[in-house]
Amino acid sequence: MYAVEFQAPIENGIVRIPRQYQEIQNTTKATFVVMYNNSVNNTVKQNSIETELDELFANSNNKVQVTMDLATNTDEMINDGIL
Amino acid sequence: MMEYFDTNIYIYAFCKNIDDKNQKEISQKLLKDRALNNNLLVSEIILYEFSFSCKKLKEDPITIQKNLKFLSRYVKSTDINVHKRVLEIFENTNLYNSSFDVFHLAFAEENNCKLITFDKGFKKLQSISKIKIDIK
Repeated sequence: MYAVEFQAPIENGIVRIPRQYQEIQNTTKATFVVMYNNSVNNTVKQNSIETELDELFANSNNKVQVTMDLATNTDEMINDGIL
Repeated sequence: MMEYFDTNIYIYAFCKNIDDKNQKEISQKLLKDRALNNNLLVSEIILYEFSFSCKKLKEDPITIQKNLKFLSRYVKSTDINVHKRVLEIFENTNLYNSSFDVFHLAFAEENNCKLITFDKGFKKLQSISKIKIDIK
C-alpha cells in the first residue's frame, strides 16, 4: 500500500484529488482516512444549548418568590410532620 | 475540572421570581458556562430536590418537566462508593439530619468535582471534605 496526504474541501460528499497526484486520479480502489476539525459542529451545539437555556429561563413563572431559605431548605422532603 | 452544583444554584438559575438578582446572575452564568463546556455533573437527588422545591415555589409543572429533561442530560448514576462514603461520614460526624448534603459531598468527591452552593450550611462539611466546596 502507498499513502499520500493532502488537504481538500468536502463539498456535497465529493473530494477532488489534487492535480499533483496524477498517478492516483484513476485508481479504482483506495482506502480513505478522513481527519477533520469539529469546531464548527461544536459551536453550533454550544449555540443551541445557550438558546435552549435562555428559553427555559424565560419560561419560568413561579408564583412564590425564591428566597435563600426556600432554595436551600428541603427538610419537608424527609420530614412530613408525622414524627 | 467537572463541577457539581447544589440544588439552590439551579433554583436561582431557572426561576424568574427571585429575591436576589445577583444570585440569579451568578447561577445562570455558572450553569451556562459549565453546560456549554460539558463540565456539568448532576445527580438524581439534585433532580428530586429541584422538582420538590419548584413545586413548593408554585412553578408551572410543564416548565418543571422541561427543566428536568434538560438537566437529565448531565445526570450520572450513583456509584456504590458514594453510599459507602455517606455511611462513613455519618459514623464520623453524626450528621444524620443533613443526609442530602452529605450525599452531595460524597457524590462530588467520588466524581472528583468541585461542589458549588449558596448554602452556608455546607461550612460544617468543609473540614471533612476531600474536595473543594465553594460557598458563593
